[in-house]
Amino acid sequence: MNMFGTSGLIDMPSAESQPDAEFSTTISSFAGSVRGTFTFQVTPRLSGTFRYTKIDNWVFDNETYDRSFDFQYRLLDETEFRPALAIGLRDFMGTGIYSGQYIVATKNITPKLKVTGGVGWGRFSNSDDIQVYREGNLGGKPSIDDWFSGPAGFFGGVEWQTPVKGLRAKVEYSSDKYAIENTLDRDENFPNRRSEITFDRKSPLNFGLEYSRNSSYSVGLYYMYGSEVGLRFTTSLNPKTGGRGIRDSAPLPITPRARPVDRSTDWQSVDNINAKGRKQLNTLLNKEGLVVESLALSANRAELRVRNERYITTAQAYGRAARAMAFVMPDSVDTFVITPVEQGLPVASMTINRDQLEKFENDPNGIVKSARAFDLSDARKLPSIGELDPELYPDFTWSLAPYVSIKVFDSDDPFAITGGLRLRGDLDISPGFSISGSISKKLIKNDFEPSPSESNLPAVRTDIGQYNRQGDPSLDRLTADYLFKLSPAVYGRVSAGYLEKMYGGVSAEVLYKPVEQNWGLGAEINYVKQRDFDMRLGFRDYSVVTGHVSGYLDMNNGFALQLDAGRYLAGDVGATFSIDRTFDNGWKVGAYATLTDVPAEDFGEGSFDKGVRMEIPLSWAIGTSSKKTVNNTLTSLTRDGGARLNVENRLYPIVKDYHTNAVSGSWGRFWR
Amino acid sequence: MKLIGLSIGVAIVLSLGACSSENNVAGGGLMSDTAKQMIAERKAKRSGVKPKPLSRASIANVKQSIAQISVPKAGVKSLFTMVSQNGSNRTFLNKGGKTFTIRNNKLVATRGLEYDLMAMGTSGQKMRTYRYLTPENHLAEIQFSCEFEGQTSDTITIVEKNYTLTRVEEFCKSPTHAFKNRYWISQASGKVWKSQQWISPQMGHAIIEILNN
Repeated sequence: MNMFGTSGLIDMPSAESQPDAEFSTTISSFAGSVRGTFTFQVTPRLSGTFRYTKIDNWVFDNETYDRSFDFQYRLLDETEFRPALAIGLRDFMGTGIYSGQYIVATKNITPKLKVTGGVGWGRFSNSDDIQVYREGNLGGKPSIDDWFSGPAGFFGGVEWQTPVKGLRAKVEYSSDKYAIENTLDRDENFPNRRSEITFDRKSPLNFGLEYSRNSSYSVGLYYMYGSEVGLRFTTSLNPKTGGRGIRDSAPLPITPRARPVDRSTDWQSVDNINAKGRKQLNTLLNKEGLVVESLALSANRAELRVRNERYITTAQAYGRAARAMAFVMPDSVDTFVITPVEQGLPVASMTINRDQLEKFENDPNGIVKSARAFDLSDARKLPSIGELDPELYPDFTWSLAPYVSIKVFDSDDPFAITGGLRLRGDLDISPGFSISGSISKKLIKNDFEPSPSESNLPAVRTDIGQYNRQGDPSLDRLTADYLFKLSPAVYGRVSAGYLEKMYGGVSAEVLYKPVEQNWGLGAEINYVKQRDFDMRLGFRDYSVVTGHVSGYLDMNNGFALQLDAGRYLAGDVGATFSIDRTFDNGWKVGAYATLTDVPAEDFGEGSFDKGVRMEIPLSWAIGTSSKKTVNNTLTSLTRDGGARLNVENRLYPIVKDYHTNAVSGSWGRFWR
Repeated sequence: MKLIGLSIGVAIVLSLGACSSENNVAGGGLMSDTAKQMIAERKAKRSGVKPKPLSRASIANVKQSIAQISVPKAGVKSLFTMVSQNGSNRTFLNKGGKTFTIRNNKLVATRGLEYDLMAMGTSGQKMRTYRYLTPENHLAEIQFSCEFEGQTSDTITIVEKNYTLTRVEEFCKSPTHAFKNRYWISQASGKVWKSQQWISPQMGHAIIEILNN
């Protein structure tokens, strides 16, 4: 890792890649600048980087902090005779103080000595003449015309593994002249930016020592450009290999039925057999985070509907339910059907042959065999003999809890926190039909407020500051929701009320998603009215019909795509394209971009809406199963173009985790 | 007629696996002596009184098969009760909600540890396959080739009782890992009273001492 938080020497890049899926955080500092960098190894060859920079006494486009994005792609792997070769774009979006492009090669000469050499443009051009600010540039768009053009410079260096374990020494020749940092810039034509001389670059040579004993951290100390001392600290984690092991309590062991199996069905004459069975199953399952909704017990088949309140890895929920059934069900029952119910929606059915369940439990290859044998299908209808647990509906639950909302790496502020108390209430009336709402009262105020809209678009989102100021206490949401099935593979939702902080109205959605299919199609239509700034019950004048047609595709290679095309809140028409790298333990790292018919000039700073996002399962960090995730989205400035309604209970995320792709990806957890 | 009354097995599971004895739906009459003792121990622990170490007297009347199992790397050391027999697989459970499954004297599965042994299989005299889940929940396996070596006579003590047994060692190797298991076997009956068996790279060994039948 280098001072820019990417694979490299000291200030220059190298052709190496980090391990696949590695997520590295680097903090580095020298000559009055501090850089915080996140680098994600998107694929074994491609890495993406986000960087947040502050330089003493500098102003970037009216902002104290500069945000930059990089990509690097490894074109060729190292072989015995050939070096690895990579191409990179640094700071290719945004205001561009670090913009540069390069091609670089790295070769291990001996096990202890590595040599890197490259050629670069822009910041890497070894030239004083570099274009970083452009008049009238709104930022947020790649400036492709300038790439790999203009003067070029050469850089290079060596890395040596010293005899001291974990200690490496580096020397490099840098082709970055730090021309801007060596210039006083107070151009009257551009009052919104300012740069000052931060250091004296006396030499192109940098020297450094780095230390790391394992892959989770490294530190570096450098003597840079003949005049400055640099420091770097990097910490890394990997969703594929890291995290805590899951320490859930052991599942119930399976006790097989005595052989020959007792075929007697006398038990059917017992009164309320389904209710008794539900109760016994609940005794076992409630401790495991599962709640029985209904049981339909016939001579040799038992169908269970169950809520999963704990397992983000749904295979484990299926497995625990199956084990409880093996414990409780009369011997003559040969077939178990487990139908998980999410928000009242039956989302899939797993059919399990009891003999096989008993046999595979301790089979050395039981995981693989059971994956083939147990059948997952679209949710089955509730058999007529099945009855819903009458105690489950209606059900009212409420909570009063503190909340915090943290906004990081905004261009004006690296860290903003708001928090307070939130009262939530949920009334489940019948399966799928609920009324829910929340009210919050702020206790810590540090609200983010975007610069006011300069565009011709209606202020559909840029008024957020008004809401934050006036809406205290605020009615965050109060809706009636009905989720239902139209056919085994078609799901529906209707919501009405105060749908989100800024809009109220009605929303309707349908989703087609057969269990075994790796893609789904959906459509949503909403009629909404803008709410009053005080976030109580009133509305403002603006209303709009907004809606999208959505396509979802799991590419079966760890990437998922989503395309939403339609009409946005400001009445603009366009599409949002999202791509996520998804991991079978629930991690997600992705990016999205929305392009609509709003011209960049009307959109304002940033040109179009885009962002990167990340979702970390809480279970990965705490080591016990939980459905909770920690989400973070890093967006461009809040603008009015390409803005979508934030309605809860969108269908695809509710159903897909129980479907074949998700279940088979983590199938081993069925047996844990 | 399983449905109509939870078996003794469930009583043990419930009383051992849960945090409070209130979950014992089957009622006190079905609860085993072991379970009662464990609940007493747990109450003692809560009140700050150190639980009494196991003694022969305390386990003399226990009907179920019991074992003392420890996993030093996981900080586990406690009494386990056999709660299930599936074919020749015997599963032992402790009050901390961990299970160990033993087949023909070999540890073949664990549950409730941070890094569980999902399954173990043997083929022929030498080959062993250990199966795990990666942090991404993918199946991973390590294949070992194992050899038995040396037999020595050894006198050991398991809860106040001395045994003179034959100690056999087993060396297992894979391209990436290696470990040594030990078994203490009765010459007369062939029963393995004690063993030290490898679980996984992260968890190391388990020490299993059989306390009765």
